[in-house]
Amino acid sequence: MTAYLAPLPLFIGFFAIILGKKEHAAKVAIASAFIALIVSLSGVFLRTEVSQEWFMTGPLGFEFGFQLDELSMFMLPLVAFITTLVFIYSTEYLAEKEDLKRYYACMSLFALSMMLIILSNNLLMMFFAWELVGLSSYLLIGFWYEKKSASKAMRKAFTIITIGDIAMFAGMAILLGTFGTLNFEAINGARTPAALGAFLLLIGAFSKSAQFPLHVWLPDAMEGPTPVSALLHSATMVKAGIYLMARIYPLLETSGLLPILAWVGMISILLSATLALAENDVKRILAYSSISHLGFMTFGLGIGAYHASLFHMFNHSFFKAMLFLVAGMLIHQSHSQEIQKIFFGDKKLALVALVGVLALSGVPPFNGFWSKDQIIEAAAHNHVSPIFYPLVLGATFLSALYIFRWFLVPYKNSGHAHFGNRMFLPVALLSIFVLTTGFLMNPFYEWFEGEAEFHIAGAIPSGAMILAAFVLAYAVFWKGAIKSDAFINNPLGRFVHKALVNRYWFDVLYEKIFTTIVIAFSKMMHTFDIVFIDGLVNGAGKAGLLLGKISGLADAYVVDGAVNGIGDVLKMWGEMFKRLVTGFVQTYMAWVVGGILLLIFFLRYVTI
Amino acid sequence: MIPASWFVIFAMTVFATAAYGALTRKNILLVFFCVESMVMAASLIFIALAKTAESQIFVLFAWVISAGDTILALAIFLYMMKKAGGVELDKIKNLKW
Repeated sequence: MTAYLAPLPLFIGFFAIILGKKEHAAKVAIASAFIALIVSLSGVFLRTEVSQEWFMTGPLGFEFGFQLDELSMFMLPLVAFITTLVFIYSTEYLAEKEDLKRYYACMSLFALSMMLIILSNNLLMMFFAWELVGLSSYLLIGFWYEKKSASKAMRKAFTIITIGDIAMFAGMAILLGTFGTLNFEAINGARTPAALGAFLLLIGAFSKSAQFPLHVWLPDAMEGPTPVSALLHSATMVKAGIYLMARIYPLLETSGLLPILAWVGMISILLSATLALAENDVKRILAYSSISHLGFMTFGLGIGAYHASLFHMFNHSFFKAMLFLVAGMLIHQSHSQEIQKIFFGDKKLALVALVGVLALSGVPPFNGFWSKDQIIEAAAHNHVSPIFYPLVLGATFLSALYIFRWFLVPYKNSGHAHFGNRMFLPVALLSIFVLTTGFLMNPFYEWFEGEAEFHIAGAIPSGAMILAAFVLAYAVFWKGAIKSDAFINNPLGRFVHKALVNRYWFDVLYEKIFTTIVIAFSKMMHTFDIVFIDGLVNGAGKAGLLLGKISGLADAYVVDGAVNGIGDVLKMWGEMFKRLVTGFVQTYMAWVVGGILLLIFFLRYVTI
Repeated sequence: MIPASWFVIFAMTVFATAAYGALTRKNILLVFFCVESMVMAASLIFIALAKTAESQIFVLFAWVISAGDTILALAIFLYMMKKAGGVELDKIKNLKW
């Protein structure tokens, strides 16, 4: 009932890690993840929705609510479980000298925000958690930020995720205008198409799930530590995009955007499956495989196989996380990341790796088979395009081929194995799940089966593809039947090789576009600065100077003129009157006499 | 009888002449004499137009006062002789601009 409290232990753990000591960081992280796991398991097989009004602006209300239905109640324990296992694995994978506080804090932040994405019942809350997840991914990819390649990769990831975020925010605004609310049930239930808004949300989902054309960040995201790749970029974060698409699935259906999903998914599958064949880095092959399988899920949603895609999402987390952790162990003991140089060294390790490989390629009875085959079968009678079925079979062939290559090339190498139980036991536990989760689709519990009935006959073409791939892989990579020189000497082969190595030149194109825009913008800003801003400042200076000159002139002519003028007038009068002062007594007497005569005259003859 | 108006005309003539002399003489003693002469002319008018004895007594007062200012005039004359060393008024021009 209280499964929506699952992020809370991680939230407390986040602060406890930051404020505590480095030695305790790992233990706190593992404890909080485990408590979150227990709490989230309490929500299985329960349906509930809790909503709390957050704030209102006019007629629009924004809520802070949790929703638990089949979709979230399976993902929640999955995230908690893989987080716990990855934390235990990290205690041995990361050396003591690393910045463990930052690592566990970022991972806890990621886990709690991923849970918030799963639990939210409206787009706004999911958007906040979405941003947090993007932030944690950025911080964790660039965990070793001193390395130039790592810092470049973290910026690339964040740029693409931001493009998706902007699109998503715009989509949210449009949907808010169309529906008046951002609640999922309300939006899905309204049965009105909102193509533009939903499409913008799709762009956000594609950026998070690394679908074409926003897939370029995921291979470079492998710069982060392997446990980060296991948790974020295979099992949980990249699923957030698929999760969003599943949440708004009725809206996408009504708006008619499903064919876009199908095509984008199919292109992503084929694109990344071919790129994986030319890649030599053990983690990058798995990254391309993630893009490919996410493409399967997108494709499945696009052709209407809703439950099959979600089942595949669930299964894929287990075997991909396991494969990444195995890759981490291989890197740890071989001190190299190339498949030509790494080795298994131990039968146990090779065995669990084989389990993951078979699950990925879709061999029964491992879990990958059950979900992948449902999608393939749905492709057989899909309504979007007849070309999908052969394409998806081709995709099965390619994905089996690259993963067998991933396994066979290192298997030939020999070396001394070196790993501890804390790394091996999580992997072993995951392999048990890989064997068993396939059976969640059974006659007793039908949610994962959905509308499609399962037929054994549908599995034959895909099984044939897998077998063919195995034969080819065995011949080329184990026995060395076709040497790589055959490719180099053939001009077509050279071109293909060049295209694959340059990742179909998407990276180059994006970088060129991006730098052109940034440079043009900065040039514009520079011109604005020089013309407008400097013009204003210089103009102000010139005006001040002019004002000063006028003031000076006024001072010199007006003020001084007045003052001097008064002085001159007084001087003139003084010159005039000084002549009265003769020093001669008789002149004074003459004035007196004259004055008296005047007085007599006035008194006598002038009447007042 | 001599008409009173003839005395007045005579006194005014004396007064005018004395005034002219006071204003134009160079010798300071002559200026003093002219001033005394003006006083006598004025007192003559008093006597000529007297109806009662008060006016004639007033003339006596005038003579006494003019005797007093003659003393002062002589004192100034002595000081001037010391300073300027002559009787010409032209010599005193300290206050000329």
